[in-house]
Amino acid sequence: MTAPVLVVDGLGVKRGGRRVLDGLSLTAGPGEIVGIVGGNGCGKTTLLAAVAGVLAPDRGGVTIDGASVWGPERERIAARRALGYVPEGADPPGHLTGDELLALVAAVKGAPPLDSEVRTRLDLGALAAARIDRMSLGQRRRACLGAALVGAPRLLVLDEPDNGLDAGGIDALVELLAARAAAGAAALVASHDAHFLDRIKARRLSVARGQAVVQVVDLTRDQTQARDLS
Amino acid sequence: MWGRVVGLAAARRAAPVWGGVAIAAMVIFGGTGMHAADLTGAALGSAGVATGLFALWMILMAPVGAAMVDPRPTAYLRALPWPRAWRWAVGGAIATAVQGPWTLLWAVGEGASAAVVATAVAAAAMLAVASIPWPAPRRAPRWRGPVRALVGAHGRAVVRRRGTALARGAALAALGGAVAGLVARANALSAAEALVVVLVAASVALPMAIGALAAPVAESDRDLGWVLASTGCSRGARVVAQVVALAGAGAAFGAGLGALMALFGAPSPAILVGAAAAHGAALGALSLRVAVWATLTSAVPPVIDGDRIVIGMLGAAVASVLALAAIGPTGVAVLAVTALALVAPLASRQEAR
Repeated sequence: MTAPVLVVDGLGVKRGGRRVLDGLSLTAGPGEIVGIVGGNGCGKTTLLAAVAGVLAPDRGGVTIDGASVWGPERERIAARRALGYVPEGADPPGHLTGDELLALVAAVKGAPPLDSEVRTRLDLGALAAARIDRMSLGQRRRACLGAALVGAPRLLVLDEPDNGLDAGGIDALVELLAARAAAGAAALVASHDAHFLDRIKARRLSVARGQAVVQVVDLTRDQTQARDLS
Repeated sequence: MWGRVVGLAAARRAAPVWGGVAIAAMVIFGGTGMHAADLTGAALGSAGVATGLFALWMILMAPVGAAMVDPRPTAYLRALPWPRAWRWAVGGAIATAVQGPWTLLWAVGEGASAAVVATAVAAAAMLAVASIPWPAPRRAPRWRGPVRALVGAHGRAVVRRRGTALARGAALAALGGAVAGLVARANALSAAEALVVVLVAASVALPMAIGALAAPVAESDRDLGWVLASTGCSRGARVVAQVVALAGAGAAFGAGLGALMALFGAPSPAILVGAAAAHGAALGALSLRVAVWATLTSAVPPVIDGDRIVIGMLGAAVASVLALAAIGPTGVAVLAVTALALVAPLASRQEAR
């Protein structure tokens, strides 16, 4: 049996004193794309931020390729170097150019520069010398996708990655996700667009919140795995 | 309405410049017995002096010009049917008004006609300089390691977001070096006395120069937060990069201050440059601790409270001068060790959880 790339175990997160996630668990195996769906404010962005190492959980754990995202320092660094993250706002510092963002991420990860084929597919050459604060949302999203793909990460964590992208950009994203999945990487993708999730062949997980309850439902397996965690 | 929006933005930037110029004028025209006519006469008699004086004024006024041409505050107003000539007239009047100290210098030194010409030239040049677009970088950087990459990113944040603060800091350091040089020349100082004077000048001039850079560096680190958190950058690397960026700027300002003092004939130039650079580096490291304090105590975190940075750096200036008065140059070394002791714990501070 192949070991999962991503294991989320009993994750709990509070934001502003309010519990947003409570005991949420999921796994993603090699080559698997998991689509996170759910209504506004249900905790999708919080889940992805906690998985990506940006928002600290108060309980539970996240491991990527066996390294804990919120564990000891060495494991934290190893886990985070194995992931690529694009947040919902796609808002890296505006004073950097597209190329400078890619160079910064490569230097921090200790990874080689972004593969030229990926650059071409995302049309990043046109954004190379452009400052991020002068880019449109779609352009920023493409720059962030490029940065997330530096070092060919084992896990992609993408929060509404299709938001703001033009048709060509979405086609490129679908192809790149398929290529990463074929290479054995996993992806966690939050989106409101069912058609997009169909295109990337995502196994869907619905995150729902009622009061202090989070339910995870696997829709594609045609069985309800609703867990009342209250 | 247009005048109020642009005028307020310009006035906010012009007020500290006017205050600083007033203090410098008191030192130059009060302490050395120089008159306004001496300075304007020297400028009229020498193209080099005129160019230097005008360049210094443009550096000081650059933030004011940048605030006036910034399209963001007036984005909505520009969509309204204002006559273009009216906007230009209001902008021209504001650009002229903010030249106050420059107008006064030329009016007292050379009379009303010279003041009118000098003010018109300065106002037009200020707006022209502020309107020049920065060229886009041609080549992508190749950084090795997180610290170098972060120093590069922070440096770009300072130059691209607060280039005017960098210029103002350089002008302050130059002013400190010139005043210290005048003191050295007028009093024929020994090497030991010159060392104390350069450290006093650095203690007074550099905290404000470096403090203006602490906010953009800390903001750059904050804005990179999710990028660095999700790519495995350690807390230590982030703190070291900020210290290197700020201490580097402080060392450069200090070296410039010491070199300028030496140009006035002060003895032991290498010691003056080295001591001022080391003091500038220590103040740069300390400014990071001040910026962290200004963030933690801000009324709306994570917005950095600029007033607290000014207060903190004024405190550093006072502590620096008092340490010098109490135990001489050794006091500055004690301050440097204290700065490192205050900054070091930031590197070991862990993320939540």
